[in-house]
Amino acid sequence: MRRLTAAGRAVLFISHRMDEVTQVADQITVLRSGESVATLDRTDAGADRLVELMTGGEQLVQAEATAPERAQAGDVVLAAGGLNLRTGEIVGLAGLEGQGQDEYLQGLRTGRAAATPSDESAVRIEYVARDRRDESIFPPLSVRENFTAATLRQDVRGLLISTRRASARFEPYRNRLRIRLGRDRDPITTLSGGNQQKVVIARALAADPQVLLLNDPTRGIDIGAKRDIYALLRELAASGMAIVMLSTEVDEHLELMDRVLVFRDGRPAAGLGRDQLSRASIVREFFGPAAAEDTAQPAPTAGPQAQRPAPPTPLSPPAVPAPPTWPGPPSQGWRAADRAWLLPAVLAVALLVANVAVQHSFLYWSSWIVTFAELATPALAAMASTPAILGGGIDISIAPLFTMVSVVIEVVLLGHGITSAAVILPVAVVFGAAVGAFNGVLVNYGRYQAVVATLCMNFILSGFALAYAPSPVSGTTGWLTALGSTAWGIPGGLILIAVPLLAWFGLDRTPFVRTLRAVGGSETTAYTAGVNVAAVRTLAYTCGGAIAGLAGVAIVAQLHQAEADSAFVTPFILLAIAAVALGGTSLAGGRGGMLGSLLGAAVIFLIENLLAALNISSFWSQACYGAVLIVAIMFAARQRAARKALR
Amino acid sequence: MSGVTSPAPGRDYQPDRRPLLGAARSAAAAQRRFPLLQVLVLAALVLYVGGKDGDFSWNGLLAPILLQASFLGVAAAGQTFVILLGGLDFSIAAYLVAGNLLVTHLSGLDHWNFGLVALIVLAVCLAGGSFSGWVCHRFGLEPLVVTLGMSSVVVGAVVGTDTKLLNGMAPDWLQTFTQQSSTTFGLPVAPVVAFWVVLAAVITVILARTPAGRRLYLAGSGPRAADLAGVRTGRVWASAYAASAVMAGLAGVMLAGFSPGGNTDIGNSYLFPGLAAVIVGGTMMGGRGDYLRTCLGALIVTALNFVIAVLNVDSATAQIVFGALILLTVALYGRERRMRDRV
Repeated sequence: MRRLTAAGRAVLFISHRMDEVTQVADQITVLRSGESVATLDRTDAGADRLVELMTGGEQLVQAEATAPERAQAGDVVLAAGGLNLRTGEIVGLAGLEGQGQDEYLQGLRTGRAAATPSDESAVRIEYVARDRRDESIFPPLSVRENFTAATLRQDVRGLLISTRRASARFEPYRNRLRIRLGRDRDPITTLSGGNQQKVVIARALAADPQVLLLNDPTRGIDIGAKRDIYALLRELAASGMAIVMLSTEVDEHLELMDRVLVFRDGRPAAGLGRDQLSRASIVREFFGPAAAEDTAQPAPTAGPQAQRPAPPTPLSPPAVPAPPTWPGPPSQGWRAADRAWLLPAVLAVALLVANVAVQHSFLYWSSWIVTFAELATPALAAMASTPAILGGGIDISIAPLFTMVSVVIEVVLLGHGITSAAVILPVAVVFGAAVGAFNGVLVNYGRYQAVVATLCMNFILSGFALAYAPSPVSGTTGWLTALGSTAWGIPGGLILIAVPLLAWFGLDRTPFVRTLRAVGGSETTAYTAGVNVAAVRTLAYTCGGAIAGLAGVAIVAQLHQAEADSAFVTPFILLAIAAVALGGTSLAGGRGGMLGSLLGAAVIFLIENLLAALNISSFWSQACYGAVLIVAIMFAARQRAARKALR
Repeated sequence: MSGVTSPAPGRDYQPDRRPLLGAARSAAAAQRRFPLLQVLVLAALVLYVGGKDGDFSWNGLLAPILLQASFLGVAAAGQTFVILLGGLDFSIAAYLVAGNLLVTHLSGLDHWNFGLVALIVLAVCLAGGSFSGWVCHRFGLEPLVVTLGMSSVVVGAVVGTDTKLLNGMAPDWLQTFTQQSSTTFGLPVAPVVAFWVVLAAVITVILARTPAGRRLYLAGSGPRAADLAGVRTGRVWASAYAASAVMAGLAGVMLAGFSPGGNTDIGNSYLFPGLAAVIVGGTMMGGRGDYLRTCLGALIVTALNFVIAVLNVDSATAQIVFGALILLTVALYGRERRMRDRV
């Protein structure tokens, strides 16, 4: 940052940490309750002055200079992972990030780390998670509902939940934790981070735990709330509760803890008693090797921690919550995810063998031509659905779109004697792309939910197709017939599939597809990084539309007719999405690719073909098809999970 | 989020000093609590149909809408649970067909005891639905694909076991139950509409005031947080999908009385319209919404069909108008917040 400012740039730095602010900033603006309170020069801004401004001069629980009366540590309530946790003590877990303290705390929570006495199961443990937004709060629900989440049964009167009782239960915690809120039926998201965290802690306390585990509870909350939480924890300890708290702030350990376990290389490397606690002693243990006298606490081989190499970074815990990992290109992760097509490929080969075993003629060249002609449409439909899904959206109007394109080709072009490939192909692709772009604009600029917008487009496009072709319209021309069989000796279906696949491989080398994956992985991260999320996604819908245009060509080439009947179109809608999922692309976005979708469509096609060849009645074969689809996707998910575990 | 302008998260709420903005904000807050705009849209549509027909009478206008909406409303109930949970159920059509065919065939043609047939339908739906939900949760599979696969299995297995299944009639009392001309305790409503009203009340109470309903919202709005708070999310998923299947099966049984004769295609006319009813009602993925909204949505979608009917257009234009009208309706209240407000 110094280098940037020296180079004449300005930095806007938002932080909750006093030391960082006073160290980094030249000018400091304090915000409180959505308003700018004051702007100070660095020289005027002592930490005390800032605290006063932030809290509005409110009476704070003083940061104790003198040691407060600390509760006598009592009996051991939890003996696990080499930690003999006694009632009335607060134990801190310290260390650089990712040194195993997180896993250790999780181990305590689930009881997996429990080693000694057998009556562990009887101990009531409550846990306050680290990631408030994803692991603690229920965003659309009210403060009261958030509070009662872990203790629903206590409010039940008869069969129903009593709102009055829930409110009454909440009231004492509200006062004790100094939670500032309007009404307890307001959504929890209307509260500040600190007050949300207090509600989460109140939820844990309502279950009346003997042991309270907290995972960095003061991360990213204001200093007033921090002080309130410290005071609360002391009070709880004094009343006999045992508390284990993971923290990334050394000052917090110094101020609050009776005992600190410092983690290094995936295990507790040292235990420091209250009298040994100092900034220097803690930081020294971060890096080890431990001083000789610190062996009072044995360093046990505890817990299920994975051994991770210590990063050779200096002590710099992140000031703001670490941003979600960017699923973008430079990491190894996406390369592994990109090979998600391997599994559908294996499945496809296995099914191919099965098909050949049942029906030897499947290997003949003539049947290959037919196979590719039949495969082209579902494969292209699946590929057309892929870009929107990669970007974290969905387009369920692909099937009516390619139907519409086939109707345009038959009715508008062939019907008027226009047969030139130089006209038909561009019209099909541009028409598809235009509708795709319209979908993209609806979703990304019109702010419709993707399912809603494309569901409506589904109705609209089906209607238009039906209006132009109430009954199937036939017609073909020389080159279209060739695409349905062979062109230049190559199966036409293969050509139709290969063109968008190769084009996509080309796009994969451009920043566009990487950015699209990033957007699908986390739109907020991408947005914060300056990506024009709406534009990238709209472009993805447009690409999908263009491929759907080719699918329209494919169906005319195969059937020599356009059909807009809903019984013909509807199966394609869901089949396309199913093929994408089967191909290893996550419907949540971010992971996967075009090749997988092609293989997914091939798998579905081969299943159907096999069942037809086996000559079972159509309804039974439908049942088999559904079962195989579920088994296939379960298999794919297991493989993904196994691969993730390996990494 | 049904409110387009919710106060930015992470701050204490501060009333705005500009009066106009303040009014807009409190209107948005009211809309978040109660589906006002949905009611207005419904009233406008009904008035339009009535005006066009020149018939505002109960039997000419309101009773037919209510009757048709009751089937859609029951069929969409399950979709509401599942969407609240953050999933999707595309097997509704299949369970609907299963309920429909089993009743018309076994009860109507083979004269089995209706209670026995109802038990069979219930068993099929419970087994299939809870399997889908459990599998989706346990292995983290895409609900869309799993429910799609399940619907093939269910339709294939039910019809495959007996291909004569496509003929038959529902028992007489079931036909009376679903006819518009019948009355309920002297009131001029079809019993099926009264049944829907009671069902809606029961579902609403279950969702809002019982631990089971609350767990559905918890698991939907914060899956990880719900796990940590001790909610057995796997059970919630299995139950929600089972309930969804049962509601679809129930709708299928009701439809057996309404339009006699089994029909394998009957499900598809309720799958996407049912989804549309949930969306138009304003229920969204992940714990935002309730069943009353879906009921309103079912009424709106049904009223839309009546609007299309009085416009007197062919079926192709009808589809176009239907899609466009839903887009317009949702534009009023159902859009996402701006990207810059979500960061």
